[in-house]
Amino acid sequence: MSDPVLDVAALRDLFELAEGDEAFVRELLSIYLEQSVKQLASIRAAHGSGNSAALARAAHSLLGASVNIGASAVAETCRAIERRALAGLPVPHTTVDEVAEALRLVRAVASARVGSAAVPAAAVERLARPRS
Amino acid sequence: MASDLYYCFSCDAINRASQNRRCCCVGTENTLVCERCGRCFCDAPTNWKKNVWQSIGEGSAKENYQRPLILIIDDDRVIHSVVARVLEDFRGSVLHAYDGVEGLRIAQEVKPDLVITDCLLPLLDGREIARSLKSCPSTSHVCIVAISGMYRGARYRHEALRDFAVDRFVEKPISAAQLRSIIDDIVHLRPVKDTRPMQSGVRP
Repeated sequence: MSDPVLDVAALRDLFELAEGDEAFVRELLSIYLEQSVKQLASIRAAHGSGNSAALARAAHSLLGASVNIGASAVAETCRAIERRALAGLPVPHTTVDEVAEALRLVRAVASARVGSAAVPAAAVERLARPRS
Repeated sequence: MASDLYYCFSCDAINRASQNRRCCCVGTENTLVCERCGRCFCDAPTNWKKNVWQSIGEGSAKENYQRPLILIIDDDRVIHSVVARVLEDFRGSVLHAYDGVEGLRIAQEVKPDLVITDCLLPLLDGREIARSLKSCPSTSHVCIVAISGMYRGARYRHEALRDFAVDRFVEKPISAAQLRSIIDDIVHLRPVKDTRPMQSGVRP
């Protein structure tokens, strides 16, 4: 089974942290997505230059942020990149592209329009569910 | 040490007055521009100007921080927002650093009451920051909480507490309750030393 775009349990944690404030959770997602652009660029740059240590660092940076926000698919792909890079194994170009695609999905889910209902549980489900 | 440090009223970045450019606002005193957020200080709150702006050049702005002073070091801006949000419940000032070298520099200069640092940071490991601060008499009193998503389990907890002298070791994801508890300890000057028994071979 593939990893979810956004992990419901992690989002629940965020909602708990935000005390049900959906706007704050959205702000966090926005911050994550904003910084992920730079982090993905770092991964691509390190991958392109063949610098395994830099690639592992860049992947770890995005991995950590993705775990915090619950972007499981991004996290797991970054974890795979980090492990291969640390082991000195080649990282397929397609794996880096998978990170970009997973991020695109997070962006799509995060930007999904939500109503004004401020019920955290419902909001979590809404945020975590990709648009069909 | 330079004595021209000040923090941005808008984003809390630490700036150096001597290195920052000035704004070109018409009809103002042309104040400094924050290096990180790019905002100038022409429209800063009066109280901030009184406490910080006027102190630049007359001594370090660090003396104007409200205590407890808490430094967050993490390359993930989401963590900064989350921690800052929790800290809204407490009086005090929050400073932000985004890599290990910057974090250590700020910590050495302002001697915060609490440092909350990620372990795996760009440029310098958060645990090394702890070791540096704890080994220097002028900063050994600084309470340090290391958080990590990478180093997990009893072995790393033990290593962080024993070898790197961190006061607490917390695995990500960190909860609001955990953070509040830690800050509460600092605010009320209760000991923050991690007194949980060590576990071996099992993940706590």
